[in-house]
Amino acid sequence: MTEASYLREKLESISPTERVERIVVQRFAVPLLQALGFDESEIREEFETGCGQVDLAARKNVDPEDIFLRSPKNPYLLLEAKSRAVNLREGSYYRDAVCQIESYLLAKNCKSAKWGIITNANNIQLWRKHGKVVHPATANLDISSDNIESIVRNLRDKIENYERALTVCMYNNKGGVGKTTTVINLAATLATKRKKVLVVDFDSQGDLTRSLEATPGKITLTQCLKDPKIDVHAIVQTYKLKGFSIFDIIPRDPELETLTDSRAVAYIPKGTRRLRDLIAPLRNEYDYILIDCPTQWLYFSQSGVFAADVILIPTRPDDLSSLNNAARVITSFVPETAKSRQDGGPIALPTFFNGVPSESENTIKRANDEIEKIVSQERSMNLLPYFWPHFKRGNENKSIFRIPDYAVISSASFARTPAVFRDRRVLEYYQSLAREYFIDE
Amino acid sequence: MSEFSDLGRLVNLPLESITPADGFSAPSFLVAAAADQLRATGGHNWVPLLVVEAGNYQYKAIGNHFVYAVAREAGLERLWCIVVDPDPEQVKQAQILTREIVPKVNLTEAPRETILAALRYLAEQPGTPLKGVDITIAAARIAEADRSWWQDLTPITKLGCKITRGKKLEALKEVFFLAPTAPPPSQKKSSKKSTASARAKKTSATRSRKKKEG
Repeated sequence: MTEASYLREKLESISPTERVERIVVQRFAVPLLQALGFDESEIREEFETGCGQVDLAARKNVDPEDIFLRSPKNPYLLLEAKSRAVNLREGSYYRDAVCQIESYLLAKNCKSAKWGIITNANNIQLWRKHGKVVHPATANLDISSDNIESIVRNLRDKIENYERALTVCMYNNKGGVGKTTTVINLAATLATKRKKVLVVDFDSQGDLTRSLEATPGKITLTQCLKDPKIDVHAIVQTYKLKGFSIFDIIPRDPELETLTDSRAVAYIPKGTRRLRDLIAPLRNEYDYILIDCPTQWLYFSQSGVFAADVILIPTRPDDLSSLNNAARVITSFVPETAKSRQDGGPIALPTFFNGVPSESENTIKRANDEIEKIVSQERSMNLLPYFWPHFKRGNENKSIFRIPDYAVISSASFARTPAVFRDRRVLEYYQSLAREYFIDE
Repeated sequence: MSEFSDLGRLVNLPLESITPADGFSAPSFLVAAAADQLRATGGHNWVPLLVVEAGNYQYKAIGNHFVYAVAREAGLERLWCIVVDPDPEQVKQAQILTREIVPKVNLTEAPRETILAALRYLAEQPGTPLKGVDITIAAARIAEADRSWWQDLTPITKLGCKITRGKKLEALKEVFFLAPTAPPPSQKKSSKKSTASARAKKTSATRSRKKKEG
């Protein structure tokens, strides 16, 4: 009997109304981890994460002297189980379980953990951790005897083939919020942290390409979009500063402009899904792939959002429209994309204030008032975590990450050098941005 | 339609990414002459080929196959296509609309006018096997018959309308299908029988009980 068919047998032995979590752990979750390739000595129950006990943790025993069951350290995967009486398909219990697995994955004893599973034997969802980002690796799947084997195959394939890169799309439906500036400076900052970074200029205006004085080669991004047989490596270039390679770039080419016409998009196989396929071969070669998109929910931004694991949304406190448009991205465009992708992604990260002038507390106050209005008027989802990520019951912390408005940042594009390399304070702010969102240091 | 789906979109695909349907044939005169016209007018096929996605960057032609044959003859490298929903019922609908297949009607419930129209369509086909059949009479007799239990079209042969087993009956399968709503008469009879025998048993049991009580 294979592990998967043993798992199916165990699954069928659990009552559909089982109210005891322990039964789900022992009859389903443990056999599930075994079907995912972990043996008994590689699974530990009630693992202390440093932020509470998770039901199960697992890690392969590579060193015969270091058996995970005996020395439960450095887990690779965590599993939080619930009883079948808990609705994990949607609603508040599901959201609570997501928060729980996220906090466990980010807890101090789980630095090595890459994957988290939440399940109640009715539903199951795999979550992936990349640095500080925890994002869905599958949709929240309904489990049945008929599909459990294919679910196991899918999960096992993902767990055994952890992709190196996190793909981030910089997007706000409102212009002038500093998307391109953020991509350039974040890429340079991550590079200073020894991360291998690729930036994709997916804006037909080509500001990013111009800012870095990059020029497309013989084979262009547009050609690569049109012909899936072209090797994507042919369009990757390196941005160098004083002879040193900083990060890689896929530059915009002039023909990309033609794709603003929907008739030209007809020549791109798979349309808005093509960019995701195009960068797929690069996902194991970089730590971060940053995509710069234009404003407006059309071909370029739809492609960028579809290709991403997470969406980073810059806003400006003095531009209330940028806040309303950020809400629209979070409540409408991102869920719409996730519905099409059917793999749980992408998700939006909390927004941040870009280009904050000094002595702007009144502006920030007005922006926070607007946010309060946006949050209270939104009925379809809770927007609080996207605007005020530190806001908790009993601690109404409304702080939002800020990048100040330095003249050196806006003038950097003329100097053809990322501002982080021209001003130490700017570097420190972007390092904070990287730490706030991405890097677990 | 989602912006992340090609369904319903007009797309320009390389001919080599499209697998043509098996078994399509058209007179070589029509294909060659149409190819000349397509080449002479710049090679933009205004009537699209209908395709479904059949793998990664691979497509299968499901309708307007003539367009594919002509494009290949004309030496085109790319072709304008519409991507159709791969759901079999949607594909069938597209094929009916492009007249690749003939739609069928449910004979179990079809009214006389529909039956007559279907028979007329068959009778007007070149080389029709329905020669000698009076389709007005045939439609009337079929319409009058209790069709609720028909499992196949054989009962038509007993209606005395000159539709006999063989080619004639086979031709009808092209336009009719059946979805019976009642059991066949033999089962109807047997179920009547069993009800009757149960009733008889019950009566005799009551009688014998009354006797005992008496």
